[in-house]
Amino acid sequence: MARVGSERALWLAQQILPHEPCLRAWLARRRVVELEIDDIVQEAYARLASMDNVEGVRNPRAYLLQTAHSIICTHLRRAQVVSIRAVDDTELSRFECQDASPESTVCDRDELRRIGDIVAGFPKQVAAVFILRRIEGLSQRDTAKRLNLSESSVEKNMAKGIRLFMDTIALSGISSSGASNRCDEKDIGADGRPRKQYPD
Amino acid sequence: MKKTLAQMEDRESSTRIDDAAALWVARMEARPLSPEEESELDTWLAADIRRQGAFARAWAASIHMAKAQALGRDFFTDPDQN
Repeated sequence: MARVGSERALWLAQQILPHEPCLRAWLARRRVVELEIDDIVQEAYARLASMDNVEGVRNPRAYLLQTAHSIICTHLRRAQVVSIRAVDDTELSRFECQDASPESTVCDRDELRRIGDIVAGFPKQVAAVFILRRIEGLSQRDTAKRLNLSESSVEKNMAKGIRLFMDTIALSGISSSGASNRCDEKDIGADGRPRKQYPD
Repeated sequence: MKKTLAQMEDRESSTRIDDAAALWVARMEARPLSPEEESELDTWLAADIRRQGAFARAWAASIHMAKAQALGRDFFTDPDQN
């Protein structure tokens, strides 16, 4: 087991994170219960993190879904659960996500604003620590001094921020189109229409 | 009643794993880990593939969040005012 490196972490941030809401919506349609969804998402990231190289991944979203599908199959075989229907490749390829196009995974101004809004919604101390560390670029020690906190407390607040951000990704995604970058749910949606990618 | 895979295997919850992963990433980004911490992190990661994924995901999330630096100080209200 090799620990994920910074280059791969960056790739995950740019190429996979934007598609996480799509993955979760797809898993939800597979009638995988909530806890299992989190388990599968974690394992999918683990597999992507441990790949020898990702140069061959032309379509990160499709690759992410395929990875999750493979994980589900492995678990079901292990648990000897038989009631889940098989998924064929056409279902994977038909599953349309209205999420970020490849070019829009580059962080644009609106996306930055989205991150800013999420941070602004953090508990006060978490936001304060994040702003000093990441916006003003202070060291952990200087941040601690400025806020009259221990360094360990700064660390815990940063962790809390990351943690809250992880939950936000899971719930509504990180793209500037916000919650609307979930998957196309026209098959099950009440209004029968695909969601819009961008607000008016 | 249908049990989740986690319950069937009596595993650590994904929420707890995410908590720990976020803490490791925050530590690692703040300062070099001590040799003891390095080995503790490796041991922690090796015990469950979901931990490896949560760690990678937490790191990716932190990298994405750090882009907020481009917004500049003015975007945020003064954090010193309590």
